[in-house]
Amino acid sequence: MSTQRDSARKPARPITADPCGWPALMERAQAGDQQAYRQLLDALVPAIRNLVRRRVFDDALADDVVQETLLTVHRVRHTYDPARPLMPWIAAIAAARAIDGLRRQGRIRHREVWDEATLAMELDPDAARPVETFANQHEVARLLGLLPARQRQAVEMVTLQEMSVDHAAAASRLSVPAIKALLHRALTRMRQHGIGDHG
Amino acid sequence: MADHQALIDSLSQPLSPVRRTRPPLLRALGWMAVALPGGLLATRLIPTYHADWRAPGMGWAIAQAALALALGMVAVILAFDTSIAGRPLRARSGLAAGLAGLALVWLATCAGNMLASPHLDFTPPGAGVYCYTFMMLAGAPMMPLVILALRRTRALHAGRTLVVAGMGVAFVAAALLGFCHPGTLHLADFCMHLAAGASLVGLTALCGRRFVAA
Repeated sequence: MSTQRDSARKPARPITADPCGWPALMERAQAGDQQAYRQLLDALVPAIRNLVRRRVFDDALADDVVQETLLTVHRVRHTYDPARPLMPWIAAIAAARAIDGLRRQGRIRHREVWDEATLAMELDPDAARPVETFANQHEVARLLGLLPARQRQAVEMVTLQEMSVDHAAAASRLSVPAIKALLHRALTRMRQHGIGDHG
Repeated sequence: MADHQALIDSLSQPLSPVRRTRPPLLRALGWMAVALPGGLLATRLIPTYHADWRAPGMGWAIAQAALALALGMVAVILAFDTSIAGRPLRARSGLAAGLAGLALVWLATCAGNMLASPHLDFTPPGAGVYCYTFMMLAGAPMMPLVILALRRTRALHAGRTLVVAGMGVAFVAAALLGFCHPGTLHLADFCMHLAAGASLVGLTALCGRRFVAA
């Protein structure tokens, strides 16, 4: 437990275990007494933890909620009326912070997708690129191998070397309609052998 | 387990004295003292109708205005009270029941006024637009004032607190409208009063949430 660990590390602070003394400590804290405030917060931590533990079962989240509760207590300490008991005031703050914490955790769980492949891509987007490139090259070579020589030449010039149809026609000494017909037949053949429409 | 000592040290090191929050009734009175003249001044932006208090049937209108003012006051007290941690709305059931009872009496008074008002053969176009504009103008300075007042204490349940505070603003605006409205009340008119009230509640809750949440 942190309290035991801290007590070994730091000089012990007097903790007022009796909750009856807490309103008086808070009253002094409202007047600016640092010692009383520290003493009160020290004493409140186990009580807040117990309150939080009724709703929050995750250790890390419970610690976060305890800290959020301490921060809220500090922010709204002027709203405490020393004539009233302190614990209902603290319990209301702890309950609200616990519910906020659980909601936040729920939202994070709802949004988070645990996909290792996606995570690896996020960390190193280039990681999968060589494999992808290799796979594509292999597939292109397989499909080109299925085509007759003239159709393969037309596809290489227009699709892979990104030549215009006119240039491809001039380079292969064929007419433009002939190049277009060759391309059409090549693509039809490749589709029949497994290339997708997007390819 | 986390080490909370560092946080406790940082919170208690620069500790300055704080002024304790005053009781909700005093805070509501203070708010009313500023909000009422503010709302009244804002309505001067449009030409205002002055009610003829000697006209027949003005009793209904006076009762409505008085009830609306009382409702506004109770709602604002309730909002200030519920903004304090450890004082949830359900624990203030007496005050909440008082608010609900007064609202029922106010509704009954409005219904009585509508029944007593001379029947109109047709509803003129734009009926109630003046009332809507008047209430929105009256509520315009009251909304930031109530949000500022709630910001001082913050609220763990900001949404609920702001809705109740918005009701307070809407009823006080309705009370101011009572002074600049004919004694008669018609359905179209009343619907626009309700629409203005709903707009004020919604706007208060929407605008204040960020500033009031603890």
